[in-house]
Amino acid sequence: MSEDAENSIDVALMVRIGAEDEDAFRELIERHQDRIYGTVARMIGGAGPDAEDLAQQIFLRVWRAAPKWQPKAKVTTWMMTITRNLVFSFSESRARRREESGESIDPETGETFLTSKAGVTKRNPQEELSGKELVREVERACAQLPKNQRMVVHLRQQEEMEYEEIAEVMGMSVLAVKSLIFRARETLKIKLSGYFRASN
Amino acid sequence: MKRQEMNQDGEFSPELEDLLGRMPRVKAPAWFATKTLARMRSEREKVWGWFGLPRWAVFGVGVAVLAVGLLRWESHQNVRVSDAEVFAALNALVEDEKESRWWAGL
Repeated sequence: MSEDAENSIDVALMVRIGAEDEDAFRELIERHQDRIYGTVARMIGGAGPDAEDLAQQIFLRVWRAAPKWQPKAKVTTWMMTITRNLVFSFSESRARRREESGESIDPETGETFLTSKAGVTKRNPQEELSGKELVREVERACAQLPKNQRMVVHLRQQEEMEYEEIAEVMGMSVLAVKSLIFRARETLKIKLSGYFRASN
Repeated sequence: MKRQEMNQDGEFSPELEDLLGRMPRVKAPAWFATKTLARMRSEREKVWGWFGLPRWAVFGVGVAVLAVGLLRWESHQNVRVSDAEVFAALNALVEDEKESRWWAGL
């Protein structure tokens, strides 16, 4: 089904949700739960109760906003914007809590380490890695990116969103999004340099 | 060692682009939709009070009724009745009593 057709279905569901139709709300959740939950989990460093709570909060905001909702953008873009806002404020408050409790903060990104760096740095790059292991290394490296870069890489690579849509979600220009993606790639290049060979 | 190609311009090779795309998608847990709906219903019940009105409205009406009652009570407390009015009322009772006795044939 085309994106426009998918969006038409979402718009129709939003109209029904605005009239407090719980069946429509359930349908919208079922259509987007993996996308929203997956994004939250990727952004906060893994699945679990926090990811579930945040993903539920996102859908509750959708429910509350539905009566006044206007179809100015694609429903998925709008939901991703809510996701970004909630996830970023969650990350910031978690970073503050950890800073107050004396946990280590990444000096470059100003964020706490979401996952162990050991996975990337301690592993011997010379060893043979299977496809799955390599994907896991890339995953670990992505988890250490600053949150803005992590979000745009996720939206681009996993959600396959257009630059314009990502710009709308992130509240920045297309150029800024491209710059973030470029910087993310540069960071990944450094982190994964042991596994990749520059072609001369 | 398994190595991938990296282009000179800093862009990753198609292989790495592919790896980024192949990162496993985290799926929502079972019953996610059901749990979210239950949470939505419980939050809605917290907001809505009795008679299908929001809690703040019910609370506001309650406070207003109490305030009006208190004002009316206080205005009753401040009623002043002159002695003449009291005696007139007593006389009226006596008159009633006389009339009743006459009707009773006493």
